[in-house]
Amino acid sequence: MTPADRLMRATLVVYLAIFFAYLFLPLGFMMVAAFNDYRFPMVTPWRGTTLKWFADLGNDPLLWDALGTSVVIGIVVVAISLPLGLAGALTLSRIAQRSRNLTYAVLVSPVLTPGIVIGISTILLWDQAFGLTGNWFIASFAQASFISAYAMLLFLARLQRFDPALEEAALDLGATPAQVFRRITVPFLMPAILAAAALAFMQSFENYNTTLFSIGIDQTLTIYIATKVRQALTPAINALAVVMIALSIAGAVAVEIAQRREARRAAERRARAAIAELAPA
Amino acid sequence: MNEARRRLGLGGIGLCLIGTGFWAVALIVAPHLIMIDVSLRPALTLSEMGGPKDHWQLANYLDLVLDPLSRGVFFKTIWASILITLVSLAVCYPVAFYLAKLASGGALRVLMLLLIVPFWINEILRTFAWQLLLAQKGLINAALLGLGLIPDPIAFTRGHTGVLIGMTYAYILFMVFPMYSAMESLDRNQIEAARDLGASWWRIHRCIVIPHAKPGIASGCIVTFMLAAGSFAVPQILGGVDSLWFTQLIYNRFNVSDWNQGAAYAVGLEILCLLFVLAMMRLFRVGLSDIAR
Amino acid sequence: MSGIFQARRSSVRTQRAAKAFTRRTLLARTASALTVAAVGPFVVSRGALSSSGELIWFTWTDYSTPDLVAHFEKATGIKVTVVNFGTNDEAINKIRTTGGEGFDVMNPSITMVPNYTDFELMMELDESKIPNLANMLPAFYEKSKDLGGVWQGKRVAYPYDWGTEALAWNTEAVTLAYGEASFGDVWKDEYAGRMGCRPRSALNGVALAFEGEGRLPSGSLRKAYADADTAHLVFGETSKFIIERKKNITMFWANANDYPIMFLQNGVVIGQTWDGPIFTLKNEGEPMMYMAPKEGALTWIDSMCIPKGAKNVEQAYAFINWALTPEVGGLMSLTTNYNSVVRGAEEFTNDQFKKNFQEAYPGDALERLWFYPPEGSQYTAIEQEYADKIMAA
Repeated sequence: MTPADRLMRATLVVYLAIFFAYLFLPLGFMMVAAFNDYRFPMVTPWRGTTLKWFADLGNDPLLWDALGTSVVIGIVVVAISLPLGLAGALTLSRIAQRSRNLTYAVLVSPVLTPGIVIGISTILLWDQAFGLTGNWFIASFAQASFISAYAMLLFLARLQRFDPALEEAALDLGATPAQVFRRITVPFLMPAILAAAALAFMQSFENYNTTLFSIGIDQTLTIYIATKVRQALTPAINALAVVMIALSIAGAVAVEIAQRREARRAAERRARAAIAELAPA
Repeated sequence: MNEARRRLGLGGIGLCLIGTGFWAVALIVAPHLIMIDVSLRPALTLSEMGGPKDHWQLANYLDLVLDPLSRGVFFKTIWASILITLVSLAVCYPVAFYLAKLASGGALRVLMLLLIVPFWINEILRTFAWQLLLAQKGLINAALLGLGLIPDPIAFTRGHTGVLIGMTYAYILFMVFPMYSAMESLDRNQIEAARDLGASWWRIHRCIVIPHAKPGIASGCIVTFMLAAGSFAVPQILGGVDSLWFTQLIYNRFNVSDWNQGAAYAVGLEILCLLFVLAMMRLFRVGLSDIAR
Repeated sequence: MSGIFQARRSSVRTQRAAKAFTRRTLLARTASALTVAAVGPFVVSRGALSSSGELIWFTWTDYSTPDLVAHFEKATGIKVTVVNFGTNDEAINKIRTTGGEGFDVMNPSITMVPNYTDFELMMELDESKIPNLANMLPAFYEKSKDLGGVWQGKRVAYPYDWGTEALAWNTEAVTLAYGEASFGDVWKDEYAGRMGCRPRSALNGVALAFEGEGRLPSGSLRKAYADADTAHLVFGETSKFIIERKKNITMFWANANDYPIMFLQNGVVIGQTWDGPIFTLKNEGEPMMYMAPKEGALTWIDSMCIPKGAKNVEQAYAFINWALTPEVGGLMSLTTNYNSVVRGAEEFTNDQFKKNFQEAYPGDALERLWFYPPEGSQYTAIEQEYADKIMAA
């Protein structure tokens, strides 16, 4: 490492620290306000520490219903958007030739359609075709129409760096296209698949404009919060944020621990196998 | 086509086409056709429907073109969205590069987690938090005043600064992830080789990293631009007295029960944004083939 | 393509459906059946499940307080499902997309009811099923007829509660006295950079101030609600006045959640706001005051209606009767800070509520209330047009 390298690294690390401070500033603010004994979600004036907003949170059945609906819609949207996004990406990158530009334009167009219009036009379509009024299932489809495009863009960016020789080699060796897809394409795409799943779930989870019109009498968490602003929000919402942050960190830590344990076991197995080979029969 | 058939198999092609077709027709084209139909009709009451006034006309579109207010707001929105995209690119590029090429496995997982956690909180909630942070008696002004950097509080949320800060924040993941994905496939040896041969970091980025990551950068910019132009919650909450977003105009049309005019504005926004993005892609020589190969 | 937008034309559709059992209908039916079979229980509407003891209440978020819901369930034995909306427009759009189905009783602003009846989305109400109407303050019963409660000679909405939009100020920085304070006061240059308002209602407030000063003929604003030319004239004047003073405005508020931010965090000392949420600030001990100006507070009434597609009509009537008891009126006031239309409801409130109420409406303020007239969609569009102008200026 030259001094210039070290300087570059140090600058980047300082920059990352500032970046993550920016990222966590609103979170820290929300978390602190969740414990302030004050009717409004603020940190000043500080009127004493309390847990009553967490109790309020527990006493709000509508909120928990809404949260459940949000999670279910999020899962359904991931289940719809990932296959559609992948199908779109593969069609664009491998199948479509003359119609590629048109197909691309059609598939990314929902990203720049204002959400309110996707919501209203989707509900009109379902009413016309099936006589159905709004519900969470239709809202999932409305959301999937543009979330699939995010997934597709991630897949395309990754596929572009794909080395076709890998597939060619496998095909030449007699693998079926299905085997190639499962053993080569999917593992290569895995980072993009995970990123797309995370992005799709979060986009669904916080969507407002599209959901509002297509969901009928069901309520997602975002809709519930947004309608609550007619009266001033209380820090109960901040308490919810604290719970969500805690849960996601706990979940991630659990995954991390499980992965490390698995890695250690695999290493042990390899070591044992090596010892067994070395040991006289 | 033969190559596709060899690589995907007939069944694979079929599945891809069915998926793409369902998505394009049922989720995109059919709702769009309804929207266009609505945008071409005048706003009518129930008794007028099916009557002599109920026919296609261009009035709703002409209004968008001829009304200086909507035209002005439209161009301001596009300009602000470009600015947000550029700021976002500048803010996120070093992060994506660090994650893709410099962070070790364990650090990478932790940083990824740190990156995602803030976005588990609702956009609306985060934006409310920004509204309070950026207030005149908020934490940021208090810190700046305390450090003696400014004599009087800055009214962030009166002008456009609040929207810029809030929106850059809201779309960080959309910029970081595509860039990270593209950079990740860059061979680290290429950078090290260039470094060993004495290339400066600036040169390495310009000649190796950026060209390699161009599709990711383009994807990130396109999505961020489109999200910014189509955003509603952030400008509504953080937009000051001088800031009006085109989506707010569309929303207001729907709110006064003029769905038809609102649909026309929406179609207009969509077409012009798409044209703008295609023009930019041509200008920067990012072909669809770069992104969609 | 023609006729693709039929959700809005339910009655037209019904007529056509009788004649047209075409292949297209068959296809749609088959597709519909397949979809239902495929997605199964997910899309069965909640309405289909509701039994005799249920009610779906579609209302403002701050109306469905846990205390009120519990009281209703205990008093009637009917199980309530609450669905909330945040703005009148949101409620209308939702009812329009569902064709009025899925909700049993709702509380739109009474002046917005014509926007529903235009699309035949509301049921005619049967007065004989509402004995407790006798408890309603006669002034509100009568007034509501002209404000949107009666459509083509049929009663479609009764008042539920009322509230106002008037002057709010920080008592540490501003002193206002009843009889002198005017909607025009918030625009004084001494409050530059320290005032807040909402574009659409500011247009109304300034118009009333202009009427008081003689800059507009008396009754102009009321006429503007019915006549497009007058509306353009009035809002042309008032929007010009506001745009000239735009540098004075610190913040546009959109809903009550903005009030604490505006008054506590952004240095605003005076503004034109709603009443209840300012009472909430007062009750927290903040140095705030709310009062009607000499022109009369802008007054809204929220109503009780039964949407056309309601499944639990008897329960909806039970709700209306329940809401029109003094005890419930008082409980509603206490939990929401809005005012009841039921005679004797104040007996069931507390001293703090009574004090806020008296400070808000001193002297002849109650006689001078300026009731919002019914809003046709034409008026709403014009008002929004000028509000957009203010925001874009």
